[in-house]
Amino acid sequence: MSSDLRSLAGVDRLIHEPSRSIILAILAAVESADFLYLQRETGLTKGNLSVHLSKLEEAGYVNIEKTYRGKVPLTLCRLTAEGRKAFEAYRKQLKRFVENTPER
Amino acid sequence: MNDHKPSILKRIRRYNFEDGTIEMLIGLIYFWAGVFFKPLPVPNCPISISIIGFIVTIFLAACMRQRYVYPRSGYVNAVSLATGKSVRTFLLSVLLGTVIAVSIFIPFFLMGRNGDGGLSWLTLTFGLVIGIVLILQGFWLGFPRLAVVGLISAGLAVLLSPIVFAGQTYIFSNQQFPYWVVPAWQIFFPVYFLLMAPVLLLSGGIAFLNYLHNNPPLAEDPDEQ
Repeated sequence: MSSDLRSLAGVDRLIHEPSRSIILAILAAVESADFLYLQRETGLTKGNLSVHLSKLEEAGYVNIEKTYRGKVPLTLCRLTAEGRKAFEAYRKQLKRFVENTPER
Repeated sequence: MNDHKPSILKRIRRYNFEDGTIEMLIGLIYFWAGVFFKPLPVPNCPISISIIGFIVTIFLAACMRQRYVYPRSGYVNAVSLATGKSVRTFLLSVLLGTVIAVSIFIPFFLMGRNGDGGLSWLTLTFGLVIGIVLILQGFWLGFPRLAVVGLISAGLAVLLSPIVFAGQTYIFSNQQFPYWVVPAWQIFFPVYFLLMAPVLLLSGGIAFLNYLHNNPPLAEDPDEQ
């Protein structure tokens, strides 16, 4: 097995979960997004999204800031530098794997 | 993932235009601009009315988004200036936009007729530039209604252009109102704004109602109630 294919075994397991990779993909494309926007875009329930965000925050990939927009509470999420780096590395690993996988 | 990213970016770009509030805001700003430049000299219509209207409009639009849009779609800050590349792209876009705008307007202003400093070109150029921007945005973001509004803007610009239809630049001068010597652009430019305002309001209003219909507020999860 080539090292390009083997690289998939070394991907960050925390990111290599569909819901979390979608969350990181969205956050990688924006400056910040609130909880509701992420919920809408990912289609996750509040509970699920909350759990995934907590895991990403614990790993230091996501920064969660609780603030207000007017009188409405706003949970603002943004990718940390470490999170951005980790997601980019994950994306490259996945891309390399797909490029080395023959199509039928 | 490579295919997913462009679709994410496209959805983020569509976010601001999806609910129609931006169009309604622009429509009201157009209305106040029309009042500001008023097509006929109305003595009891001070400029302060349109300035106050402009400020109130922005406040109302912000309240409307806060009340109806954010509880449905959430909040996203799409502008990412975190990386040096983004800052460079942003500055380059501003520079390029300024160069294009100046290179379009300056030649027109130099080609003035009858000593009005080329302002008779204003309706045509403004309406066409706004029309082209809206048409491109409509196709780029996948909102046909923006392209239709853009076409209307371009059409009105051509129809109302004093360059195309007014042989004489100065009109509205008669014995009854001898001080009503108004350059043609001063009539047609506000008329363009006042005709575009309902078009934008209608387009934005329909989009807003559709948005409310298609995006009910998210219900609480059953396991969390």
